[in-house]
Amino acid sequence: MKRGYLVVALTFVVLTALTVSAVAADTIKIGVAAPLTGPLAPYGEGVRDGAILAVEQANAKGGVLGKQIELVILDDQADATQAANVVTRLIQREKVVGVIGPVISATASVGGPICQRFGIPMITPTATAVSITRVGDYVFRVCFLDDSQGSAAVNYMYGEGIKKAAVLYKVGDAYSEGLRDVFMQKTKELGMESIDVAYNLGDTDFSAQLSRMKNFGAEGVFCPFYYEDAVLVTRQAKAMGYNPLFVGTDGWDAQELLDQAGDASLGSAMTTHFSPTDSRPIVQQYLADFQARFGHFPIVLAALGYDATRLMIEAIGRAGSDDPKAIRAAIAATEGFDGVTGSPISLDENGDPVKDVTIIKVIEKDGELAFDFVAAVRP
Amino acid sequence: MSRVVASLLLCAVCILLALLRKYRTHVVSNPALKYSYYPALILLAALGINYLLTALGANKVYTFQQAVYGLSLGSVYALIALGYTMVYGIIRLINFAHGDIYMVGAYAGYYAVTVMHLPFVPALVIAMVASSVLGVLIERIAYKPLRNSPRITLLITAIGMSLLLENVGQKLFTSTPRTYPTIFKASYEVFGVSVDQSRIIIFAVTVLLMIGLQYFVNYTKPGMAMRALSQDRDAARLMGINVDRVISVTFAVGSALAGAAGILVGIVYPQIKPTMGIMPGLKAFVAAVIGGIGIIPGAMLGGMIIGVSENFVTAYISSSWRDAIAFGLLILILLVKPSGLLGKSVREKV
Amino acid sequence: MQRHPNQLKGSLYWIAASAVGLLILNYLVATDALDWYYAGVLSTAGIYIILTTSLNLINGITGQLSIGHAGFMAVGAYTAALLSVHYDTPFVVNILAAFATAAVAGLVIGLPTLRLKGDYLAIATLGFGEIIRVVIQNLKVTRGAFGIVGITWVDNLFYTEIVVLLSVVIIWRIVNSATGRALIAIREDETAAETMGINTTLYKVMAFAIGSAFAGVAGALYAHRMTYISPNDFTFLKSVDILVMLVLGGLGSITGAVVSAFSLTLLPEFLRFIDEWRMVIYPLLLVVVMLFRPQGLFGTKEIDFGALGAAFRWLKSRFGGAVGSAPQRTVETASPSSGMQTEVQTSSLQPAGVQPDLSGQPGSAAVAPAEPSSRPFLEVNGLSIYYGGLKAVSDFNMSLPEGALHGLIGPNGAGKTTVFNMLTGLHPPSEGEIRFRRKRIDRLPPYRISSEGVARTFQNIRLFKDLTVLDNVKTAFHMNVGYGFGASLVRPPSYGVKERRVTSEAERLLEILGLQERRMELARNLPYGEQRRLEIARALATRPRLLLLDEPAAGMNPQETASLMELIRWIRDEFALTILLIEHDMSLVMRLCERITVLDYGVTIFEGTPDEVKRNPRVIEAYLGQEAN
Repeated sequence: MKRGYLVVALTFVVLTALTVSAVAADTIKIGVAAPLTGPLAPYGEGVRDGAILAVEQANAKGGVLGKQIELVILDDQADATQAANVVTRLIQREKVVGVIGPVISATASVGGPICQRFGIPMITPTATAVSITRVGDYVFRVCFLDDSQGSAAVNYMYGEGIKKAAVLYKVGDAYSEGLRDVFMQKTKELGMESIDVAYNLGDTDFSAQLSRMKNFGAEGVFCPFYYEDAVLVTRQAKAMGYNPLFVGTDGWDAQELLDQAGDASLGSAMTTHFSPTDSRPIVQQYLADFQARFGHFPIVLAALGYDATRLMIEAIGRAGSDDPKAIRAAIAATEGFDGVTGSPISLDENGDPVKDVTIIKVIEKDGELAFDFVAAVRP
Repeated sequence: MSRVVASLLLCAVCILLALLRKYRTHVVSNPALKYSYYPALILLAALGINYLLTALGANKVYTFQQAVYGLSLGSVYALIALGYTMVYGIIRLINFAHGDIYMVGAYAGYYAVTVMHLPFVPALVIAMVASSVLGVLIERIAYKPLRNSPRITLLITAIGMSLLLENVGQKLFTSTPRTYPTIFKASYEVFGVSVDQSRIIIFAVTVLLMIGLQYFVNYTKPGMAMRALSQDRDAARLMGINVDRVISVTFAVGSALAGAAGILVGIVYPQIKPTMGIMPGLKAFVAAVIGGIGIIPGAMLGGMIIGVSENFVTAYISSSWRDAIAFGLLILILLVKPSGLLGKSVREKV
Repeated sequence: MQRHPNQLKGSLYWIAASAVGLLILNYLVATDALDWYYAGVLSTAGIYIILTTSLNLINGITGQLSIGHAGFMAVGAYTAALLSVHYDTPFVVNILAAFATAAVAGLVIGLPTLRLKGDYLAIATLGFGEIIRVVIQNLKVTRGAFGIVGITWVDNLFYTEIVVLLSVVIIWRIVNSATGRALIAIREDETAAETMGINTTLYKVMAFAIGSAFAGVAGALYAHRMTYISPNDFTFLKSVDILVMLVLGGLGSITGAVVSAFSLTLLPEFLRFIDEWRMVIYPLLLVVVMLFRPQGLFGTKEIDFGALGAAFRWLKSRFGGAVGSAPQRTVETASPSSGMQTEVQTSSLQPAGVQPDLSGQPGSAAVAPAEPSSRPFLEVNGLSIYYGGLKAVSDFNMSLPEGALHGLIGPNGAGKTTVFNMLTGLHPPSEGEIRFRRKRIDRLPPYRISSEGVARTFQNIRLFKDLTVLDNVKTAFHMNVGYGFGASLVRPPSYGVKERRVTSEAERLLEILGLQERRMELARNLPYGEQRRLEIARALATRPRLLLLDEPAAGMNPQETASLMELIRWIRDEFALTILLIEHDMSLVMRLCERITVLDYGVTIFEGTPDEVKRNPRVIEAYLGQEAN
């Protein structure tokens, strides 16, 4: 009995203590909501590191509007409830002028309406589900949509002369199912024969799915999921002697794919946000700076975190004020932004970028596997 | 027409199977028939299915290919289910952490193969020993003090242990998946159905371990003690059985089997991660219940049923309904025959 | 289980305190002292409070282990979301609709699965929780994995807290009423509950449906708070979260559930610095709590207001009357041998009209038995039961007049208890018929037979062990509380009157059986003989016409047996009962019973008066074996 009493009392003490924390205001605060724990932590960390790099570079040049920029980074654990709490906390307690994140579609779908409600601009670097930016005029993104990515992938397959294709998608995953829909529709438009085959979260055995696609005679397999599953799919396909053209999505673009899938990944293509082999100076500079700062090669999502944060800082500068309303207007008016993940980038009326989709493929170079730039296509 | 014939044949096979089951006691008492009983059953079923498929004009190679895939997946479920069934049989606990012991076995095997560069058999032994030690430790630390507590307390502790192992695993092994190197490369073709060497090994190891376990439980002293314990713990204690030791042995053996499943999974489906134990753990428990919990061949049967049916659902319907079907099957079994396919029903004494 | 007798006022206190808390909270939010971030976190806490208390109704109170609660939350959330998005219905309507659909889901799933017990039930609920999610994932209308976007935003802390408060109060009232006693009885001993006239299936399903319904309400709140939901919000891990909160608070304790849900949602927000290790610390905490305090922080106890304790006691002394009593566990223990004496001494305290002439000499059965009525009161014809190939009882016949005191004897394993089991419906007979007051009861379920007026005690005592002696008896008043489910929610003035009447009647029964000293003790702590007497008290509370006593004198010393005999005779007359009793103590049977049936190997070998039985060679043979002949 006493214990319970104590718990209640303690909770209230802590609660009141935290309510009365002071806010200093000679910096401009930008918030980052990303998963930093749990299975999606690597992606959240990539976005976070990209944002840190962008802010440090801007601060080194004197910040924006004569003030230094302060980054407030909170972990949303890729969980909807946590994302709601974290985004509200960034806005209400940390008084940020803009939010970078959340990273995945499920959390961005929760964060978007909150930012809209409080009138704080939000740029999600990576969430590709179409509906996210439709909640209102305060929600933006810098990555391409599922539509663009899916169309680009199907066009690529079509260009390679594939007539029968399959999509292997992950049940219950909005990203994967969204791309499945785009794929099915697009292949139909192009007159290709196609089937969709599902797998479940946590599956390690893809034998049934692969043999089903093989039985169907699919020459190309579209794989809208992350590299962990891609490793299994390509290796198991190779083991059963099934060698279609695998076309992955941005989730495939990771060095681990090459390390873990090995030969099985050779020849696979994928759509992605940028290619390190892109020779534009801004890209090479970014790669060099990132490695100098963090001591390792960036994952692809880091580039999006970097671009999103740079866009936010640039918009604050263009707005000439740290008023969220003015910043929103400045972001919406973005035209010809020079991004690592594409150039020029403009934002359309929904707050989505008009930008290129990069296609890369796995080749063998000097006896090692590597990604090679194929094309940048504007859907 | 052929469909009618096929369904009639299927009925005949079913009736035959039922008859065989009914007269099993007579069969088993005859030593000549005893060892051919299960093979005969399987052969009959296979023949019946083959005929049915011919009659239906199905793609036989595709179908049998699925069966091969199903059996290797089923082997994994079966190995995990064996541990579940043993532990449940003795202390009436759904050891939720069992799936995570399987995960640890997979990682132990991974390090044995990659870091220590060991061949398959020693790596298998290391994985089994590591899991076994972990299983016994968990029992000693978390379950033993609660032996006389309500069942729900034990169950929740088990859920807690499971979450703990998963999350410590994420810290220890990081959440980035690891990939086993390819150990068995060969693949054979039988009537057009391709059978990988690794799949033969996973199936063979599973069957061998099950037979070994069956022998252990039925014909050795610790096995006898286990069976006594599962009947009546107090009586067993009075007969001079060291209850704590027998329970430890049970956890050791059950966990070792899970460890074997871990390394076998790594070899056939080469990727492992700290959360890999959750779903197979649940499915394996479903398998144990379907076969009849506490019954060793039942766990095997249940595992195979789930493995094969999951593959068929994926191959012919869609994977999106697969988990619902697995759990649906479980609920159906629980409602129709809660003691499982091979179980006997018991009546509560008032 | 030790609840305050003055629960009614207890819950009023909670309502008042919560209302004050609400006002403070809203003042803080309105004055910006508490920003939306905290408001949001508090809303989440509120949602978890509903989830945890509703799961407590199923797991803690009714004792049915469910681990698929998130599934019902999903049903409610999607109902509210779809209504909000497609029809733009108001918040209140959505909440009610979510309640209704989740209740239906609970009903549909509960009906088949609640036949299972323990771990099996747990696994089945887990399965159903997953199935609900998979179905939502595959349906077009729920937009599968994409989830539903654009749900109206209602994150008004005030509304949320009102819903939370209502939910908790409703659950509190259900638990602290005859319904709650029935649910707890099911948790304690399902078979015994059934013979107390409790339709256990109905109550289990009802608890399950109500628990699910409130999970649905929580889901609706969640949907309106998040404005976006997807099937991944309702996985097995969510169910585990809820279970962890419940268990940490203490299974069976409503206040424990509230406090635990509240602190476990708030704590991580303030412990962000341990984020990295949070998912390791949580399960560790769970295991540690289970190991060192398996009953949770609160056990099955409820918190009262320590500070208000004095006022509480004062109120109790003013209004409590017959109800109140200090809930101390250290009631003095009377020595077992004095038990019967106490009863005799206190007999003068009994209400007028009751004349317990117990102190009289043995054999003073001068009180004439109720006049035997011409038609048989209980008539059993050709009753048989087979277990597999074994005939446990075959062709059992019996005809009892009203007011009879009949004995059923026979060697061990003769099938006596089986006859009782058939008479009370626990084991439906394979053949034959039972007519009780000319009505056939052999196909009725036990609770119906109980409501026809048949009560029993058990050979291997089946009390509700973790309830107090008084609650044991009060539970048995189930059929006769005189108010319905609705009244226990609304609590009209008559409710209090009826509850007090139940309590005073229960206390009267305890007095008759010499247990009033013990009324606040847990049944499990009573000595053997007192447990047997408590079972009789409990059986009497169902207001039976026919009482079946299964070895009432087992384990008693001769002195106790003698007074028990007097007691049985006295209650037969006092309550106008017909009594059928199984007993091995021959002196008791021969002196007490008017007629005796002798059973051996499931077959009736003789029926007659005690004298005839004593002389009958077959009976002697059955008892002593052939050699003695």
